[in-house]
Amino acid sequence: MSAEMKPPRRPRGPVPFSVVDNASRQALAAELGDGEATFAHLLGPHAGLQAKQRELWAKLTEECSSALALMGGPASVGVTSCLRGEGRSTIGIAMGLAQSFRYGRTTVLVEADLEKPSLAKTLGAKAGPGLADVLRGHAELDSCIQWIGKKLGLLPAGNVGADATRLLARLTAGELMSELVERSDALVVDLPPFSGPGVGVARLCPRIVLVVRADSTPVEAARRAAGELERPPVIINRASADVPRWMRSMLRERR
Amino acid sequence: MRRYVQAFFRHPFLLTMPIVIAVVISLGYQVRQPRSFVANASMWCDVPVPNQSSIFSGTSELPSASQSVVLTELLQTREFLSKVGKSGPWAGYLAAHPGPDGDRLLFQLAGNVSVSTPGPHVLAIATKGASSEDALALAKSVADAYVAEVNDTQRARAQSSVGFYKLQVDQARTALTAAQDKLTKYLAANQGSGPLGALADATVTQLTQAASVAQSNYDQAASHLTDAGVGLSSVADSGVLRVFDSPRTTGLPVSRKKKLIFGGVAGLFAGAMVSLFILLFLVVGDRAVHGTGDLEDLLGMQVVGTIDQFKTKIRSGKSGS
Repeated sequence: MSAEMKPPRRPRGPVPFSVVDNASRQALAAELGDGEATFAHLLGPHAGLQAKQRELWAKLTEECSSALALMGGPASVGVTSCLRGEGRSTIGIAMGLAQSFRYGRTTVLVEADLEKPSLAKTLGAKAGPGLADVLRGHAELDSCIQWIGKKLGLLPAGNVGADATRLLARLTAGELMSELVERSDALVVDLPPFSGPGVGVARLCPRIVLVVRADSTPVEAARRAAGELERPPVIINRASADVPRWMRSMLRERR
Repeated sequence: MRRYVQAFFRHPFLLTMPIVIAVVISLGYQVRQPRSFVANASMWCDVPVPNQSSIFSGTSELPSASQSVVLTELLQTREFLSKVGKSGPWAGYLAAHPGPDGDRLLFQLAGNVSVSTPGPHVLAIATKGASSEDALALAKSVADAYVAEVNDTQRARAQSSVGFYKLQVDQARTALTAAQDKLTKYLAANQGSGPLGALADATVTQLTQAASVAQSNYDQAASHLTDAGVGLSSVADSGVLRVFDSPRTTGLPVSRKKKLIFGGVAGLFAGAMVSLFILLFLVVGDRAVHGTGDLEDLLGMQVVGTIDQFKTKIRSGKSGS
């Protein structure tokens, strides 16, 4: 789907609560595999596993939808993490899917992690032109947004080159984020990790969600993030489900 | 507690493998052990005469405990083990191999002896052997050698005491005779002299006191000699120790089931200790965020979502999503 096929903007309605039942999840899973070439790439090349992958993405989307509801259903969300490899981009995609499929919002996924972009590759979209090109003034914003779903667009990192930090500073100083907000109902920004130059960019997003990888992210890093970002809401990724349910209830672990 | 449980379920293999390995090793060791037979003997102990018996005295002294310590000590000595070795089926071998081979056998024998105290006056000896005859012979040898050792020591001490007090008595007797002679001679020489007679004489008083002291010393030495004599006669008659239950064996090997249960429990305990140590190490060295509690309680952050680790099986392997 190209930029010309952008759907008409819809007025932002009330936030639907995201508790979904099995049927709803199955419908989403079916939708993810319903002729969308990009989502087919997301589901992987193994035909035998695609059904499972669809189910997993539907589950992930459901969790993110629930998280958005708990956050008050913000239209613009920045997703960051303490370190790399904590599942930030995956959750960013799921947030985009939740905004688009569950909330019915025209959503743009912004790949602001210019140092190690991965969204375009994961979604099977073109790597450029993208955010870096827009920031340099080499491309128009509208022409860089790739519509990968009916209501889901992607602004990839583009041709970043070696000056990722300078481009991020330009993004922080400029008005690009406001322009993006105007072009869509919802915005999901895949931010750089908090340990890098992500703090400045993070401040551009009205709401930040911090991804913490269970059993991996050091408590100290999370504490630093809590201080810097004023205790952002957290999504725990890869939470170990090894502790049996009965034991969890015995330990009164709040999930 | 929660962190320990979580750590256990995060590393189930790491924490259960030491237990499994220890149990397997322990059971394997027990299975590979040859069949063994056991013989038992018990000895009656009391404090040596002329001291009062501890049986009815209500004293807190436990003769069997001190005997057990002594026997355990002796079992570590080559001298005592040589005495044990002289009266058993291994005597020929020991005579033919006086060097390191003989010593090795002696200490092997010592390893087959265990000492316990079922009561304050009963000392129990249990021995193991490859056959019931070996176990029985070892129990008999140890019991005999120990009784002989203790009684010899006590006899030597009693004889030494008798000799010492005999000398003391002789010296006291000589001193007493001399003092009495002096007094008699003085009284005979000075009878009727002075207005009040010999009784009022200061020298007489002095000599009388000297005779009295000499008499007291003599009485004391004689009493000690009597005690020492009684002690010696007691050692000679019955000894300090006597075999109460003579060595016996059932003739049946030690139950394999019992050995396996013991091995299993010992392995379980050893493995559990190792696992506990690893668990402690894992929890103490763990600085990662694990769950909602860490973030909400520790850092005051709101957890809006928890995405479980998805597991998908791909033919032979696993992949997380």
